[in-house]
Amino acid sequence: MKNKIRNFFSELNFFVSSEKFLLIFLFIIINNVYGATALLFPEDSYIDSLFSFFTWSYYLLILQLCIFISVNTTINQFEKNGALIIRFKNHKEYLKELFKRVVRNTLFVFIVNLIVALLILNLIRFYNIGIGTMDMYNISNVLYLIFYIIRTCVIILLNALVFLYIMKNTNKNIGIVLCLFYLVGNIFSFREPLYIFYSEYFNILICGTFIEEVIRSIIFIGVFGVILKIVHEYTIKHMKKLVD
Amino acid sequence: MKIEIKNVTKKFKENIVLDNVNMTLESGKIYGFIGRNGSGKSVLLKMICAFYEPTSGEILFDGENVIKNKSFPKNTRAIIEGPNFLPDLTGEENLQLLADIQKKIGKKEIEETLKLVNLYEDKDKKYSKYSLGMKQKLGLAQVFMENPDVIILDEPFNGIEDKTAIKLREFLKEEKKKGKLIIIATHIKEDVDKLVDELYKFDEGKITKLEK
Repeated sequence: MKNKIRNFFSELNFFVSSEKFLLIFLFIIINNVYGATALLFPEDSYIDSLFSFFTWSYYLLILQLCIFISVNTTINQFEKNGALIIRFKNHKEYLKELFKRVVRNTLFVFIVNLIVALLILNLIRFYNIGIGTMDMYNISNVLYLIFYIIRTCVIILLNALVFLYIMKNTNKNIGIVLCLFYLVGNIFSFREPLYIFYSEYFNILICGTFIEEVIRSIIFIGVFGVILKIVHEYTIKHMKKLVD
Repeated sequence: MKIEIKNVTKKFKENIVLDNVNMTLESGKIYGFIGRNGSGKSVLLKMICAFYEPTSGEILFDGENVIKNKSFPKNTRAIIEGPNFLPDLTGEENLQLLADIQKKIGKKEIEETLKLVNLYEDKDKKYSKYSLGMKQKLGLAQVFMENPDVIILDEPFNGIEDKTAIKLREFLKEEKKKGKLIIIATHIKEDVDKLVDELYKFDEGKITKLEK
């Protein structure tokens, strides 16, 4: 167990020490500082400000661009490790390991971004936390914030997997174009009543009750997950490039 | 073990790296692939490892088309263009990490292999502190440690001091006697001249068998 934890952090450190992670970190800092200076009003509370960050299309676009760079870096590092790859029995094991690494590194980037956002807000909004009731659903706004952050994190994770499968099923240049198209196309998607675009879930859905919003989110994530599972199986059978 | 390479061509875009390659490799022999950098040696080794799919043709392991079956060749280990070890783990910990995937061996075998490549004294140093030669030795250790049936070595003696290189040549001869199939690729013919049973020259996508 101790070894597993040490290996986990060593692998994470390998990712963090790449030059690309420095770029990701720079984007995160600029994105959050810019968000704090350009987006917020003086009367916004700490909690309102967090919502403002995570519901702003441009903020999410940059955050997801960081996730895309992270996925790409993870794939590149993995594909250079022939000594590891040759020890897998088959392509299923190969993709499972790559999947785990993409999830781990994406979560890490998301958490780093969240910490940076919290720290910056702590500097400028420490006097007004703004704990209270969310009028729309008549529930605690802290409860809604927790739900909202978890949902955003899960959807960003699913998008990271979309990037992974696009990159493993196409050649590099086409893959990059498709991923960016997917990102930009969905960030600016229009609002529609069925909530079928992932970008809808970066907003507060307009539902009758909080429970209804939770159920809609679970259904969306479930359907997204099933589609990705099908794409995962397809990728196992069709990916051609296994090493760099 | 028999590896059959049948009519294999590999193109990257319009560039033909290997052109209609045919050869049969069998257990109990050492094969040498020589040719300048970029002549296609590493590409063929990667296809044997099932890392790349040939553009046309097939590679069979005891009759099985491993690439078509979406798997990797059994009991095969390779060092091609240097492995990617984790810098803040020690040499031994890096080997343990790889050994944990198939769980065939334990600490004892890892330590024996480290002794074989003359790296035992430095096993507790972090990989980031290793010299180029030590990194190469660790790369070779990960190949040998699980007693594979097929050993694939790309430029194995790069950066390795004479004492260890001589020891490893003797080790490879012993492994051959045990029935291992060994492939060594290098751009220096003298590196493998006395070691190999069959020698192939790679040039502009074509492969010719050289007389020994």
